[in-house]
Amino acid sequence: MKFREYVIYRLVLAVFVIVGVVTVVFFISRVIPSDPAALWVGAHPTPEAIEKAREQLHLNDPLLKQFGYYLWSLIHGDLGVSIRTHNPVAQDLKSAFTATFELILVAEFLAVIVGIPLGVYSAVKKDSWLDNLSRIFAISGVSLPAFWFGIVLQLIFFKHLGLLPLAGRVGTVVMLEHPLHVITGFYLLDSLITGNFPVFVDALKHLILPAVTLAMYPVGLITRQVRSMMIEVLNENYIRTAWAYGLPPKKIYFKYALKNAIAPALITVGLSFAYTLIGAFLVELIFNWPGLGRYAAYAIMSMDYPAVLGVTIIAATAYVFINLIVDLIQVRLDPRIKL
Amino acid sequence: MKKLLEIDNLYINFKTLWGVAKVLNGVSFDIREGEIFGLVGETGCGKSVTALSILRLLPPNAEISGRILFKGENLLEKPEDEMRRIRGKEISIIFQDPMTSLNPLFRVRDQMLDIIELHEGLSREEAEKHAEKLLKAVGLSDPERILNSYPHELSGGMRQRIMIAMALSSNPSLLIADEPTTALDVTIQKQILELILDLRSRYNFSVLLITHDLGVVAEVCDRVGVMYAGNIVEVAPTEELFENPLHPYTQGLLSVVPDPRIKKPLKPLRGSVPSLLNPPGGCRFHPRCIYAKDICEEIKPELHEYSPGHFVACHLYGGESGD
Repeated sequence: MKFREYVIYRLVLAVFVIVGVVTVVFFISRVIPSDPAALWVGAHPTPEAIEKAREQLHLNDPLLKQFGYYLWSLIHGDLGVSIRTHNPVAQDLKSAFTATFELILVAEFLAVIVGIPLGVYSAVKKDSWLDNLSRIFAISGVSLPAFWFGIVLQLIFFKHLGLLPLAGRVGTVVMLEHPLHVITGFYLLDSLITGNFPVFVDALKHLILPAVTLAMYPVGLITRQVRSMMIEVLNENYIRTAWAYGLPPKKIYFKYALKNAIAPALITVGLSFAYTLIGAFLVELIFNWPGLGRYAAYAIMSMDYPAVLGVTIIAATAYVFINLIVDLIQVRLDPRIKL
Repeated sequence: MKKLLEIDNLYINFKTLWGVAKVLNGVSFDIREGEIFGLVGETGCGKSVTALSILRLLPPNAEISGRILFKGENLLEKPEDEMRRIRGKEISIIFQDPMTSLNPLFRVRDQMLDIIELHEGLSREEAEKHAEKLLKAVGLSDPERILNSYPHELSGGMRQRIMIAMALSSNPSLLIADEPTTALDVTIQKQILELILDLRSRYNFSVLLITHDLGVVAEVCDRVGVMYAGNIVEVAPTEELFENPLHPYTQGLLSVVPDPRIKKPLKPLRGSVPSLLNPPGGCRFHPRCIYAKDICEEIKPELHEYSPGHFVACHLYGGESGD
């Protein structure tokens, strides 16, 4: 199969996966006993108001018909209106998604630039003090709860050292003095594009602690995977060939060996990326990050089903696309893999 | 002829979980300029370890003593970065298994050019021209296509030719060929051996040919060393060795080569190869030797010149330690 045909084939499959997930989550969220209409009208409602809301939200229609309404508007790009915030879900999701995406991008970037070299050197200097240290570091990263780690970082860098802000995405005062013109929703990018340097620095400062906190888990996994794969690869005959021809060690480790050892780490980055999109709500809560995880948690707690469905669609799409991207990178890395 | 490589009393031990394996037990031989020296012996007798020790490619658990003189300089005393300039430039090696000796994820171009650029200091374009010339020299007619290929797209014979081309890229004075034809089928074997012979006469390098195949030895080697359990037991010019084998082990080896013209049963050597963790004392061959005397259990026989150019390490033929 050709590359393009394969991508199209996978994208068609993706549509089925996402529709399937939406169907399941739609029916589950309606089967759970709750009254969205009561939530919609707010505190101290009159029975008439609730009845009116019920009509408005199509809650009196048969379930299948409600699902039809939902799919119809979904096709037209309308995710409905959030019952909790009364904003269009698409609008809520856009700002929450960009906030989380920016955070995860930085976190995964940190995980990769720390985890890969650490794994490589750990394998090269197997059983040395450096290796032992990096193994302790890796296992702590995997096993320490992220929310605990986040709080410890806040204690150190905010309370004791006063170097970094406690929480939030950007300081209110900075934003008031230097209003950010939002283009993409990624603050770092937007502030760079518009040359808004004070906001860039402030946003970066706000990003460091939550990004480090989120990076701990993938860093641990990547280090361990790269290490164990590298140990295996360094024993291969083609690495012996590289040594036998006098190639410099750096080239052998980071070019000829690493490419053979990188696949599992790549999958880890992909999966943890997708997982963290929704799964980081504890970290987002601690750092008061207006992200997707927090939005999803509030939506679930208030039975805000249009929002829950919206989050579900984003999560499913993210998993499907990230898996596709990881697969395509694997194909690019290893010429022996046939599509 | 001048000596290119001199191995002098080389001992190698490996520390393992089960104890110390005494893999090389005082190996000495030399290779002259332009000659093909064959090293024969069974699997596990230390042939490959000898080869790897010349390039200092042994794993870190190896303990080495003795001297390896290359062009008069002891390689065992050279710092690592100097060794890196020797590897692939002065001394090249081709390995037994061409299927796994090339990196599966890189095109042949990457792998060849990296080496050529490193040792020859050529630009990418010049290196590419050089690589094409080398591939033609080893009998690959479409170098452009070969350079663009990944190893899995090529046959075993082609890969071994690529390895040879890589080995010759810097005009080395010594080519170590560690069982270069073992993994290949018979017709390809013959082609590869002929190629090595042909290239040797054109580029005039010496070859250390490691093999367990006496047929290969007879076909290409000028001189032969026979190894048994970490010792060189006999060294002689090829014809002399085949006509007049002295050491009982060599005699045993030759008697198990089938001759299709004469129908007679083969006489296998009795016993089996000893464990190198706990090798027999004295002559390591004595438990399997039909001529063994008391002295063979006690004293290790040294290699000495029995007749001009023919060396043997056996108490049956006298020698210094046999007195």
